Amino acid sequence: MSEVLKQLVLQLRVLIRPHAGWYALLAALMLTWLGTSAIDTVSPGHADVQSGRWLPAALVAMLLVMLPAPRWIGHMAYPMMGVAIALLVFLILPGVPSSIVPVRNGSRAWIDLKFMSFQPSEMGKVCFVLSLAWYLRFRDNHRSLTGLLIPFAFMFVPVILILKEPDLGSALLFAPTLFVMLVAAGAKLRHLGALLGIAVAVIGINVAVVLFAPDSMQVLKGHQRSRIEAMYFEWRGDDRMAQREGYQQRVAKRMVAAGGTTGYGKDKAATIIDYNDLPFDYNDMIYPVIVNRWGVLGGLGVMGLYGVLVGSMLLVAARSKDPFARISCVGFAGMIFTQASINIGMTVGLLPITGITLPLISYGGTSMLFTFVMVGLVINFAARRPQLLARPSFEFDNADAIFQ
Amino acid sequence: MRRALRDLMPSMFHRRLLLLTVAMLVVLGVLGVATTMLATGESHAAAKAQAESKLTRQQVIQTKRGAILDRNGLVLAEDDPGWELVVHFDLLTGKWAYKQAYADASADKLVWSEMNQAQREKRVSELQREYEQQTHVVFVTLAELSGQTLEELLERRTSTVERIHRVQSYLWELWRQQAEQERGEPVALADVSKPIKAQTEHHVLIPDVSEPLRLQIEQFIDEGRRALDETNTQSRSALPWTTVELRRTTVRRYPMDRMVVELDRSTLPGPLATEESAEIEVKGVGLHLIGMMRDVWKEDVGDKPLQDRKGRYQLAGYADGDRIGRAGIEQSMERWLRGSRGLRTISLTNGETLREVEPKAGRDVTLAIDIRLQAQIHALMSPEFGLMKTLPWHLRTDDPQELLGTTLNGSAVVIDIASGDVLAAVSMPEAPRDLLNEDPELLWNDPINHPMINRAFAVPYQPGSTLKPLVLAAAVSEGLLGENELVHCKGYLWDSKPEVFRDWLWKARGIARGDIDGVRALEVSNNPFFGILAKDKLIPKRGIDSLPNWYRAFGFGELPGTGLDDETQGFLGPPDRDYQNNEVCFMAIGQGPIAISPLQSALAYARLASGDMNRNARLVASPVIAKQPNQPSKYRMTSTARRMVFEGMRRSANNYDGTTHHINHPPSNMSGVPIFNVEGVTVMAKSGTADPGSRRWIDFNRDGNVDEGEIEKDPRDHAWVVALVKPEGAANPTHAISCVVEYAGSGGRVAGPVVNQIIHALQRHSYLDWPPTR
Repeated sequence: MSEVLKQLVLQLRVLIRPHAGWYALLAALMLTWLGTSAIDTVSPGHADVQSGRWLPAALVAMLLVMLPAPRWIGHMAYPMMGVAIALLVFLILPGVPSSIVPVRNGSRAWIDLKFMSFQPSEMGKVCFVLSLAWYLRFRDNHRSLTGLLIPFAFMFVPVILILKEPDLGSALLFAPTLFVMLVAAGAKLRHLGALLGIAVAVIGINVAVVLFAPDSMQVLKGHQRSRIEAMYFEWRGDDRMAQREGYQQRVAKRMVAAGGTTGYGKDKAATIIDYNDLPFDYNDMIYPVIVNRWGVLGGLGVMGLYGVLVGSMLLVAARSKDPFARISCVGFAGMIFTQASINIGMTVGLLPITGITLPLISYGGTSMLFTFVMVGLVINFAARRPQLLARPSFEFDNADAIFQ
Repeated sequence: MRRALRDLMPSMFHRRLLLLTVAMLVVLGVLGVATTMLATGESHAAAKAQAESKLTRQQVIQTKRGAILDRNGLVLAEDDPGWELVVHFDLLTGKWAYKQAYADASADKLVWSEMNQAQREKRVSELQREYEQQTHVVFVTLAELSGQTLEELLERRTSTVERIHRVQSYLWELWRQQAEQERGEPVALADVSKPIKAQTEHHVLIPDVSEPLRLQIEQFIDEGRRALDETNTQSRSALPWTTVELRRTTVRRYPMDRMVVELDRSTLPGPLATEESAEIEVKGVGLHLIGMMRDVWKEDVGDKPLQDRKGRYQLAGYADGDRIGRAGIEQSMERWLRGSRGLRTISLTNGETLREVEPKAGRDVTLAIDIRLQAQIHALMSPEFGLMKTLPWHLRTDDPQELLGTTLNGSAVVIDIASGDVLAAVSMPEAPRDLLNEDPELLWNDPINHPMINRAFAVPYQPGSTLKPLVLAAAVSEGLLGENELVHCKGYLWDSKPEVFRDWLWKARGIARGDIDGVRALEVSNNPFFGILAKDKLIPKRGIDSLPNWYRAFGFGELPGTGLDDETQGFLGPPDRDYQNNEVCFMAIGQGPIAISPLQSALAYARLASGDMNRNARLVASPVIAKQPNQPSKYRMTSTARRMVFEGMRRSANNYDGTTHHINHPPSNMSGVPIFNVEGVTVMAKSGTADPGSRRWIDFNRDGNVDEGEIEKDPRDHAWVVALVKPEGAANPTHAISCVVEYAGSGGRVAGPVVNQIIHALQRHSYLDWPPTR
């Protein structure tokens, strides 16, 4: 017993060493504080639950994932991914009663655990990063075009299941994260560039078909097409969809714009947002609440904190010698950054509206839990010294290229 | 560059991290710039204004329309304040119950967010049932309080909702078509289907709320307001009353619109005369002058909206449901009468008034007319009194007897010569205001009688012989005819066409009058004399345009400038018209290319009688709007000319030879019965019989096409009489009267008795006292 205690103390001593991971935690806590305050502006009940229930649970989960050795975490990555996929399959199984898998906003994305609503896609995001990092850590076949197939298969399985819920917002995060992880893992940029080009072309063609050939065969669903159209019309100053599909984005932009440099302050912002009827103000639309309350300074502050959070994760990756830890940290950074960028982008009118939360700021138990799990894992990876007998990390250096 | 970077960062992984970091910084930069651009500058100002506007409610404060008064200060039209009960459209449709239930159910965002769809629907449905019950109680209460049955109240509710839905359907289709035109591509109804304004507003449920009822309803509304702040279920049952409002309203009332007038029948001609006076109820007194109100049309709101597309208020503008003047002074003085609304900005958060713009009441309009004289003339021109029906002495020998007793239409105008004031202007048939409210189409679309047309101001007729005094005045004033100068009358004008331009005596008996002077010519209405004045004097010596120009100086061919939109300029042709000799000769006896309204006729005689060719007819005494001529008229009448005209007209009305003197109709025991029989008054008159053309078209089905059975051949003539009157002792005429009776026959015998009764009315109302008492 005393040996176990001794090991634990040793572990803790290792963990509390100064390293960049603590900056990530500090940024995460500040973002959570900002988020809770913003939620308190529009829905105090949600803020109380966020700070009183989800934050402690998330911190406990973070502490738990800080303890195991990275190698053990790596070994657990595939089984955990399997669990996540099983849960995602469970969500879309026909016959599962709505008391267990309720339909909310037209989506079967949650499992009702009675004490909390659990969102398997959030778990899937973490497991995807870990399992892909575990897969990529000592390989070099992803430096060929065909070698990219398996990493893409890692992505497609959870993405297809999440799209079946349907939850387009969560599904959208996987591809950029995969892309970021492959860049870090040394995949050739010309391959990734070509794939990115194809993706951009496909998206561009789809958008063009939606806007300029609406009678042609459409790949996107009706509500997705409407949101693209709404954004396009809003951009052109045409208010034909302002009261329908364009409403949410229009009000979000108005709330951001009305905030000015320093914002309205809590009470006035609460009144303004209430009377302007901003939908989903405590989760998806929390960024307009922040800017409305604290102004552009608040918005830039949030971006700065995300910069610190993501930057410190990348710094941990840079200092780490363990390829699994390296790629995982980059994956977490990519995942959080993509999610934050898409959320902010849609509220300021740069992207069409889709259901996606702002990590650590929007209300949501599972989301907060797994974001802090990512932070905990990064601290874990940052605290460990490289093993003496481990294989060296990957370096696919070419003499004639900067990034190849 | 590459080498430097590789030297600096030998590790590819670190260089990739640098690449990712830079990419992420770029994205953050874009997002930061986008946020900053939105939240600063014009975008910020516009969004701030829009966002904060949601915290306030703007309440329009009604204004009061100005009154219309007659020359004696009697109120002819005024806004009568009252109350109406209005209910929000959502309560009428039942949507309020759903919205309230939804708001209650989702009030706790935490609980709501954790409910699934079925749970949400169930909760909303439960609450909705409660609110529907409460809504029903409101309608039951209102029905009981207002003394209506619940069915009546609900029927009114249903008809309002249906009407607005019809408007909505119409507007959506219109918007869709407009969007298609603008975009040049098919547009679905869903793309334009947004709630119309009426669906966000309150609508009248009980139009006329008495004071006791108002006090009772206000208590319920107060309870509803208190319930907003309370949470217990019992008090929240009063919530539907928050959608009910008592709104100040105004009803336009016309106090002198209906009057009972007593008329003396003893002065009527022949068999119509009785010793018993007649009591006649007249309806729509002065309606053609005063006008009426109507609901605004889309065009009115479009031209001058109360709220523009950006939501800004123009307080003098119009909103759906507003009333606007239609016809008469109500229309032509709309801007003066209307006033502008006030605007109150109320904070939604604490109910305080943040700003208030006071309403500006409309300004009053005082008319020159005497409404009691107007009513008296209206009564004496009513068919009940007897003169405005086809009488035996109206008919020619070849006219069918079935015409006897048929109602005649016409008009009369009385002008005070000294001031130009229009004391009365009556157009018949009358247009009862209650019928206009109940079934307006019946009056507006009557194809035969056109009761809504103001015949006195708006209809031009050929004036016939009523113009002869003006021609005589012109010729004498031009120095082309001496006071005692004789002109030889052969019985006709042109040797080549003796049957065309004849004296009536030559036509009837083949007698030529020989040498006659101007006064005699007027007395007997000798056509060739006036033809000669034109043919041998005015045209060769003063030019072909001289007579038309004199007519123009008398006010023909131009708007009289009373300020009423309805007035006509008649027909004279433009100043540069190439008149032909024979045209001008016919114009000298009121035929050919000339047509004037009774108002123009009376104004011309006011100018003749006063000698002031710049005199205008004044219908509106206050504010001053009378038209001022750009240049004073260069035409001057000599005193000789006026003296000759007065004498000729006096003889026409007072000498047995005069064509406006008597009615001869032995079958009716009327032999030489004088037309004028007013004691103490000198009457100078001239009759005229105007050819209305050989065909009269009545568009029975109002399709604009000449259909079978719509043409009446050889209709009877329009009968004119114009008169100048003065009390005995006065040097000059004081009042000019013009009267025309449509399709009625010979001027003197048809319109003469009407003018005679108008003179009696003037005398009764003390306009012909000497010395003046008014």
